[in-house]
Amino acid sequence: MLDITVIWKTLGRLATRVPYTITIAFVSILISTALAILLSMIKIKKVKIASALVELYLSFFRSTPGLIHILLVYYGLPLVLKPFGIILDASGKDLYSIAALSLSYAANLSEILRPAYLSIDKGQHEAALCAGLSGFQKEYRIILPQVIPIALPAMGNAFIELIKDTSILFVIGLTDIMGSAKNIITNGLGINKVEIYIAAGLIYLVITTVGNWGNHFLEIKCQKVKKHQ
Amino acid sequence: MKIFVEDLLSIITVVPRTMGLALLVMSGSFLAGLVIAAAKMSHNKVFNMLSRFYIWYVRGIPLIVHLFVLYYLFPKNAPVSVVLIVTYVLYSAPGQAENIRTAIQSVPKGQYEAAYCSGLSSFQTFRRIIFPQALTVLLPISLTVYLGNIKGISVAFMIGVVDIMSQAKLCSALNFGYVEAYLAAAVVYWVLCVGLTRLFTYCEAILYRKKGIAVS
Amino acid sequence: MLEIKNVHKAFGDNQVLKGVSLKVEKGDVVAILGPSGSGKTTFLRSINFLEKADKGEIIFDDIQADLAHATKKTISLIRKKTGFVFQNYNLFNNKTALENVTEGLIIARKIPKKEAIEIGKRALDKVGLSDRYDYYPSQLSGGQQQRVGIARAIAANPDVILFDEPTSALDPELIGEVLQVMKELAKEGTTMVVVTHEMGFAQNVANHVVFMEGGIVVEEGTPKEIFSHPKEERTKQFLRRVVGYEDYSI
Repeated sequence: MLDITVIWKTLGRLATRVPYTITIAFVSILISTALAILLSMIKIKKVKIASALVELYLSFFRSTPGLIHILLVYYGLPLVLKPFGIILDASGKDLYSIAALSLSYAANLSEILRPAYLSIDKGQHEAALCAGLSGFQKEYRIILPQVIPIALPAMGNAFIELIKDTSILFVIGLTDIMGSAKNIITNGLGINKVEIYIAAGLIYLVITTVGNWGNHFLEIKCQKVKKHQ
Repeated sequence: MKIFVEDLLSIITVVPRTMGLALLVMSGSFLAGLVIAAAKMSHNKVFNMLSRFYIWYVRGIPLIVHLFVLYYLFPKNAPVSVVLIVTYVLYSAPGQAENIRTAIQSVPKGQYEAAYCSGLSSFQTFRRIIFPQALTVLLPISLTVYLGNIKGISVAFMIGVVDIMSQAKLCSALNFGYVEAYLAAAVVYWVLCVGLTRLFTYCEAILYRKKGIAVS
Repeated sequence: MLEIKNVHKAFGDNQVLKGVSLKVEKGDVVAILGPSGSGKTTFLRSINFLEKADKGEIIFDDIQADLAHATKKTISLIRKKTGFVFQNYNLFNNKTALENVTEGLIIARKIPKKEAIEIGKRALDKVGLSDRYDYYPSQLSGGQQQRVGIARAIAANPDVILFDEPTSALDPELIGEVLQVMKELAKEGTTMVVVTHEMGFAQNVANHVVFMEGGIVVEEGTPKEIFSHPKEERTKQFLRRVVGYEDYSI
């Protein structure tokens, strides 16, 4: 039988790790969005050589599991940076985590942003140029405001998925929600495993439920904006 | 470099096994997805609520948590690969349900109307007119799902199921070449995904040319 | 005032323009006619660089430029001297009618916002949309959208306005309101180049008619010359085909 009091107590302990987990997810989504914009731009503008590299990047990150990304970053990044005189030790687990998630989600997000951008009618670009806007003004004032409501709900979903994906980061020893659940189990010499995992599950469930509410609200707002566009 | 090649050769031996596991997962989740799709589209309030509750619970919690919970809830002597397949089927069923729904709804209403007017029954309409058209949408999605499964079951190493990922982990534990092992695994995943996608596109083109269906 | 010389353009193997030239004087209303695929839209679009010509020259007042290798600065300069009205309106979906008109004034021409809004309102009043300032494109009919399109083109007081089949995407009952606005602009002496299928407009409003087919100018002249005494066999054939055209409200 499940021991409810254990679940209850564990919930309290794991809840303290929520802000840390969300922060890691949030920083990762910011960096990956910036990266995704860059990748999409290179691909859309068909920049020579760079766009072939982007193709390679997207193909690699979309073909390999997230676990591989985190382990490669964890073991590989210090080796890559060593020749540049940057010595990384194993302690900055949050940095490795953010780096891996950002690289991984940049590929996902660019598959949301690029189609959203390309869905804007060619005539919008032409009309903006005819009105005398410069290339940057055109993107910033006419195209982007139309791309955002199309892309935002999908980006919101990706953010929720990313929060769920933080649960594998314990493999490099990050003490996020899942990582501290693992620690509690180790410190308790392995008793009440199921209860502790269920507690972790419930925490994630609360986060994703709130996230989905927020995203639903966002979707309605975007729908409204799109409706009069 | 030597370590990398050794790892690569060792990992390649488990590719068929990984592909098999992913195929089992896909078949299972397709069947489970049909049930959920039916419940979701049904007008029965209870079924509707149940399916919504199921989707909320299953999709709201990371796969890895489900995997550990079920691992410890299963009888001690249950094979680990069964635990993995069951967990992954239950986890990916809602997504499959959504795919099935998208595919069926992609067929325009006029196709039903024309079929009924030609005197076909609703089962005949589905079997002969709707399903073949839905398939052209469902097949490419299924490839994405399958590739997703191959990547997704990489969490299996945590409960000791043998697949590409766990083989890489085993290699790295034997020779301490962590980067080499995971790089080798990445290459195997990469080639597998790109290769299968190419193969699929090729087969699709042939199939469509034979059937005279425009590639969507 | 505006002269375009010897424009060539190919899409792949398809030679769309084979040396088209046009001269426009201040106050001219030029109608370009021709069957679909004759290259008339491509020619119009190459004037303000929406289409990059393979060869050709433009002389616009004191600006002289190669259509195939113009600098960004020249392109921007010529675009500011021209207005463009699109076949499918291309109003900015994320802006209201008034914002559509003021966008180019405020951002590209650096006119103070308050003044730009004044100009924008006047332009919309002129096309009969004084009650639609704050409507989004999706809330307007096709005819209203196209009139906003025209207001957007005239607001900056350009030297010439280019119209690319401005009525062909409209339902028949909405064509009249747009032609009416264009007719009034012509009366006020606005310089216009209009690619159109509206024979009535070409005959009654334009002072110069150009007939294009197969990527060349087959014949040009006054409406009277073209419609009453066409010299070329191809022009005659074309006009015979479109006899029975409907003349909306002009």
